[in-house]
Amino acid sequence: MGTERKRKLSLFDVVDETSVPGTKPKLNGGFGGAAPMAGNSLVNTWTGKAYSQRYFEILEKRKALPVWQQKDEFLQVLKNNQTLILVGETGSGKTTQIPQFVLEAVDNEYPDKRRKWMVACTQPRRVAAMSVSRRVAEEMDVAIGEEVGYSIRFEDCSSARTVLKYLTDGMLLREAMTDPLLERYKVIILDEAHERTLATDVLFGLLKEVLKNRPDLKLVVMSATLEAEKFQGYFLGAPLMKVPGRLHPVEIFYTQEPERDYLEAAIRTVVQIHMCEPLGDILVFLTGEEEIEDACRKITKEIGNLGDQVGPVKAVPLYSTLPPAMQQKIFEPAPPPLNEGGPAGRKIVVSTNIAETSLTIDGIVYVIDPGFAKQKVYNPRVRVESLLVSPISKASAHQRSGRAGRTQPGKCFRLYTEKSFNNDLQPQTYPEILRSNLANTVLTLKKLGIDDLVHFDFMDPPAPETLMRALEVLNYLGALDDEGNLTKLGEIMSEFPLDPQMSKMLVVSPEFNCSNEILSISAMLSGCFICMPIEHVHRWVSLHMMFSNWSMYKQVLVHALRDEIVAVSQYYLMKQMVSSGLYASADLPEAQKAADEAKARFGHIDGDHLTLLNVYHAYKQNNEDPSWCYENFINHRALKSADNVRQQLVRIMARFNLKLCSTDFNSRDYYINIRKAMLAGYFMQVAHMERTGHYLTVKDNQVVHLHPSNCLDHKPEWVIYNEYVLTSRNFIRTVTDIRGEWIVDIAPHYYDLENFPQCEAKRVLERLYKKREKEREENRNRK
Amino acid sequence: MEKQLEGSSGSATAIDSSNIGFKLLKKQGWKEGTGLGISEQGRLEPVEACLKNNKWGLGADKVKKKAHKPLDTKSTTKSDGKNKQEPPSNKSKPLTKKMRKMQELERRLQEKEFERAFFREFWPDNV
Repeated sequence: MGTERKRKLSLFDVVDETSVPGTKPKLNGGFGGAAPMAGNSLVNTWTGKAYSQRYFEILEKRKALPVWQQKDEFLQVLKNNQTLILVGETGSGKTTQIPQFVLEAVDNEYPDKRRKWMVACTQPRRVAAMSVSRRVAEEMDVAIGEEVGYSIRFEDCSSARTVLKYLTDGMLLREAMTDPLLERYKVIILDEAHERTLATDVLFGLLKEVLKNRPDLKLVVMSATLEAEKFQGYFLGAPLMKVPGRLHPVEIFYTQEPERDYLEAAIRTVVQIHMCEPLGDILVFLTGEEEIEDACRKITKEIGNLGDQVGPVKAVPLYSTLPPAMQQKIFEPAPPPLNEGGPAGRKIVVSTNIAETSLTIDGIVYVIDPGFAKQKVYNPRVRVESLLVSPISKASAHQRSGRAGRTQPGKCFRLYTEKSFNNDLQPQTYPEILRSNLANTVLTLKKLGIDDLVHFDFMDPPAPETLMRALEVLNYLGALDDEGNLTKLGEIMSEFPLDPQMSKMLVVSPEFNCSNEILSISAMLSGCFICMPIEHVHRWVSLHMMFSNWSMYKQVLVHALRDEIVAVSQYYLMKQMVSSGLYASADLPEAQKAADEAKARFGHIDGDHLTLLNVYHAYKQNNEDPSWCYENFINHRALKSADNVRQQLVRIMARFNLKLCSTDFNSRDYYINIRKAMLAGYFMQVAHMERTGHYLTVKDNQVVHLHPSNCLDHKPEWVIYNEYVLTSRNFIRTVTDIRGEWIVDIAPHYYDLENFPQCEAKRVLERLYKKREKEREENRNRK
Repeated sequence: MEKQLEGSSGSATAIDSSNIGFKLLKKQGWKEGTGLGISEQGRLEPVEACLKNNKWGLGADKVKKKAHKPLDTKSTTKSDGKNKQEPPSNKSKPLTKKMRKMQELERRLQEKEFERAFFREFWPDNV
């Protein structure tokens, strides 16, 4: 190694002009006594180029992070153990620094540069994988995508040179499908393990197996303080290392009585703190964006009402679907006093639980915790996955209060009684694996060759019924045979990073002569289109202003969408706007006209999936022109990303020789074939309209309503839906009209009447089966 | 009202042995009445879900139930309610009264300001 570095030095020793100040090397030399590693050289080990000035500036800051105190200790423990657990508070620098420490250690151990190895660091969120890798690339003075890269679903930003890769936990799981022993990695770091995401939990079990077969592989599990001992027990006594957080004492206050209205109580508490407590910013935890926006307005209003006797406040919302530009606002300082010598200002961050562990905001001294958060819950008995407001756990409450003590001693106001804390809160939040639909996970596990799912080493095994439901779905889709073995079809399906239903629809689409169109629809559905509900835009716009004229409205809206990944036809939006009365009445005719035009352009009366397809086609026909998108209310970025997704799906199709084909557009069957192919994937997500006019989901008999954003001009007897949204009313969103006859032809194994609850749909199906029977007989007679 | 989710795990029936998923799990080696996991230690019932569509604070549903039942014994419930609201409302009530007149104006000004800020943020650069 030494020679190599020398060689590079001699190659670049003319590059002194990069203006490394004379003092810097000394500073640097002061550190490196312990180990001869990157950081004490003037030349970057990875690129062979001289370090930039910025590198040294950042290095100074990095050294101030708490993890640097324990760098040598960490390297020692890493050297002596195969698995280690590292516990550190957010803000200790573990996510950015530990992978770099690991990298140095591996580099020392395997100095042969020709041998390919990598270090992986998983993140539960895509945004984190992207932003952290960018930061680390900067710290290492390399270009992102070169030595440091990231990999998230549908986007791989890494190269053959990459040695450190940040990736979502789901992506690592995908990689394991083609590389079962994860042989390209020397060290795997599972970050944010306390979040217990579905993929992280599966990785736990998987890696435990892999480690047995690969003595040279090392695993670092990083977690916030929660559950660290549980990890230790699970990983058979792996050593636990603690990185002290910089936490000051936090005083906790409970209410005397339960609150009647936690939102109102939270706002009241904010006002009280602002009037009575010394300087310091406030963090309020609420459940969702609507509530948060509402609270921000009310806080601004209430404190505005107090006049000059109190300082100004800045109420900043924070939730995951907020545009990044808006999210940045939480880092702005508190507002200055209104007039010199007047009372000081305060920043009030109103956030979902993303501020609980994954995001650190400095300057917070007061935390208000009403004790609720939105949680995903899956009920295998009714097959519905939904986000519901539920009480948090004791661990979450601790975590929340800890947020108050990051910069100085703080206070946490819990808007519930101490008794409630002790009796009503469960100790830990249920890990995601207990609250999720596992169909996709089971398909992945099967593909990974894990046949005994029953005794798989889950840290928290899911309920048997959850697994039953997953097996059932996969069996109906044809991915598993009646013995529970992966079929050929299932194997291909598992290669698509999509829900099994969608994968199935894609794999069978050539049989319906419409794989091109199904590819477009799938890409449009997965390109994050649906993760940003239209209500959000609508609410966001309605919260902030009324529009005096159409063009102003349009400009504002397109800009509001600038960072969001929403693309919907004008019709979608307009319909909502008009029906909600958000539009100033004077402009109604114009709005209506615009809506009608858009509908004529994109809207497909037979369903939202087809509308999405029309939008995609129109985008392509207009040469992906951004100004065309703007004119038509379509988010250019979203469509670009959908197009990218489509290309990747095409590649997977090609790998399995799945034909790319289309029905003649002028044929009567063009849309019919598409709808049939969709049914072939989504036959378990069908609703039937009863004579009373409301819809019932088939087999489960849940009352549902068509989501108001739909494009249909009629109420079809049968619909397939993409999403079941559970709110005060149960909505099905993104729906398309299908025919009963197709159901009987395409999915008779699922619509098997012997195994069907009594309902109207059953009687209709009975008639259809009889009709088919008769037709068949007639055919036979004719012959 | 916190109501059980329509057909949530409490009310919906468990998946029975005629279900193909049930059969498949049995074929994988699962025994009825046991959990999953390396030592069959897993939970037996799915996690329950409750639909909450009100803003009642944590623990408030229990208090409400209690308060609703003895409707005739007004004195007890009343004092109960007073105690609960005393500290917070004390501060905000007189203040809002004092400022009622200014409120309207303030609000309008604030909305104007917000609007302006909003435009600054989202207006295209050329405007």
